Amino acid sequence: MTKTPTQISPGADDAAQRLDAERWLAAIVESSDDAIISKTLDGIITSWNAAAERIFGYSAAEAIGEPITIIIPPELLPDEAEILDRLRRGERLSHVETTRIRKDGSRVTVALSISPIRDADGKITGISKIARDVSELKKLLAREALAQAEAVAERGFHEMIENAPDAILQVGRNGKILIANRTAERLFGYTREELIGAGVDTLVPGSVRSQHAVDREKFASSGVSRPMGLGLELYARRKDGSELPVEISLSPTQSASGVTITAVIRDVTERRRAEQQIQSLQQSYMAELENRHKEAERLNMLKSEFIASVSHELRTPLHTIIGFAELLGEEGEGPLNEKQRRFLRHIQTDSEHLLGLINDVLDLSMIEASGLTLRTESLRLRTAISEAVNAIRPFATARAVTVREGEIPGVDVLADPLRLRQILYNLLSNGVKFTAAGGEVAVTAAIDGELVRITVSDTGVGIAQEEFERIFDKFYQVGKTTVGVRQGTGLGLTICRQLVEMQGGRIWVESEPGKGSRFHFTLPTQPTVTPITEPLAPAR
Amino acid sequence: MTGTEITAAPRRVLIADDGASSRDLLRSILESGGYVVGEARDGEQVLAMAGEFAPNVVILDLQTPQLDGYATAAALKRMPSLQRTPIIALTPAITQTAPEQLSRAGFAAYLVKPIGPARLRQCVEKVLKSA
Repeated sequence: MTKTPTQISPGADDAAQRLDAERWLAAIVESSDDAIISKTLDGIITSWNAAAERIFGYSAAEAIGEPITIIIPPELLPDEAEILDRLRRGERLSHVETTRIRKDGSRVTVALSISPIRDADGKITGISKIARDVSELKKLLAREALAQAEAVAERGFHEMIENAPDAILQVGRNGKILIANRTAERLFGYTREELIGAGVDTLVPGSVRSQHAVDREKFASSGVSRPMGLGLELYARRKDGSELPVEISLSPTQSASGVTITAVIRDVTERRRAEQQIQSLQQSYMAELENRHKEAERLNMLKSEFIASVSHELRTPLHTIIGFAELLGEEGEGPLNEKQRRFLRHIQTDSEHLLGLINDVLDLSMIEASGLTLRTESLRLRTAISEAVNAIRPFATARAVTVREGEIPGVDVLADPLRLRQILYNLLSNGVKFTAAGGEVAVTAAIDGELVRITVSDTGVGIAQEEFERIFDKFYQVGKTTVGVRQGTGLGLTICRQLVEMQGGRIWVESEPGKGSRFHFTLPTQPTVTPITEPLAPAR
Repeated sequence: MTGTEITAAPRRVLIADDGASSRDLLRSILESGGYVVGEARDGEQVLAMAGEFAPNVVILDLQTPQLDGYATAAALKRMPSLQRTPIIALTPAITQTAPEQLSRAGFAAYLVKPIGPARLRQCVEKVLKSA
């Protein structure tokens, strides 16, 4: 190092030569772009060139004599101690990238080359440090990397648009296609060169082409996007003239060159086909369903007709038997002896029992066969109860049981009159059957919210709590445990429950053995009041 | 049949029922009560007989073939000589009886089968009285 200047300025005396060499060297140092700093082994700065002033912000006057740590970030101080150690051992460091602090506190990235300085005896007397500011370089590299990444992203974006499942077009306000993706080429059968610059109307079926320009202008000035799936039946036209069903979304974009419209066009051929298939399947199912429904209705009708006819055939002879037995019992055709009277009573009792059975079975079959169409109407509750009470009275009188109409509110109920009568008649006849001579069966009713609760109570044998539910089951009879009372079919209450529930009410019982029963059922009420019609009294 | 020509109480009853034993029962009950009975098997026969028989009361089984009780009643009401003649309906069961409907159809009363002698006689007397 000390030799070189000697060679550069030959012919001068030693001292002069040395002075020249030092000036020469100083000039080189000063003109370097890299900071060149020397420091003692203790880290005190001993020289500081112009580049060091520029990079770190301290003037030579400020820096020299200060510890090198003024430009070292606090977190890197331990590293510096280690570097000093290595240098004392005679090692060199080349191009170590690290961070330093400028006078103004900002940071700078530098590449350091650090070497020990030896005297003539080879003893290490100081340290030289060359610091190159690489911040600019780093920025440059980062910009390059960014540009590269952007290019990749751009390509990716481009590919994404090109290969989108939908055709994408950008159209100017004048209707000329500006951009078309690859899918658009495939979908419409045109090359991109053919598409770009062409009027977008060429992709519109002839039948709606004239309207299209008007719509496009309207859309462009509206400035509002139109999404897909508005249920519009749209078609596009291919180069070969064929048409395909499409869905189109449109979004206007305001650019420097005016409004452009981005159209995303989706081929819905497959979906339309699937929809049509579903629709035709649905139609055939519906037809099938309707056929089955008709068949079921026809069978129901047959069943109902059969039951009606059976009911007529079964009842008619019994009616006559009962009638003749009663007529004989009047002894109008001559007196009967005691035995004949007893026989006649058996005929009467058993035929009436049989008739009761037949009536119940037929009623239930009718309900179950036809699904029973209700003819619900608004009717006066009092009237319906009076009719039922009047109907049961002969039967009750014959058994010496009183039937009483209690408190009945003057409301209209929504019910099928025939079915309401059937419910009341069944409950009343049960009451009479299970009440001993001298007892009483009563009907009362009370408003219960939107419903009316009707109660048929008797002073009869009563029902045990465990039977409260079962008595409404088909064929169940309380009579099994009640000695001396002859019952019906065990169907009466089942019929009642079905009829009550069909009319939107419910039925239940309260009772205690020996203390009579109270059968309650509810029906919806009709708020408006209808005029009372004179009931037709049944003949007695 | 007008009242002025008849001195005795009006006791002519025309019955319609498709069962022979039913008709016999009705006839036997009514005859034992002193009524004159005319028998028909169905509604058409009733209409054919009614003019000449001139009943004071008509009893119609609702379930007769050919012309059912409702249609027969309506037809009788259209006959000038029978417009005021009370008609009694025979219904097959309490659960198949709709009093409002019967009333609208012009029946004066109804009887639910089976028909006992006492009920039948009372009913006929009652409608004759109020007729």
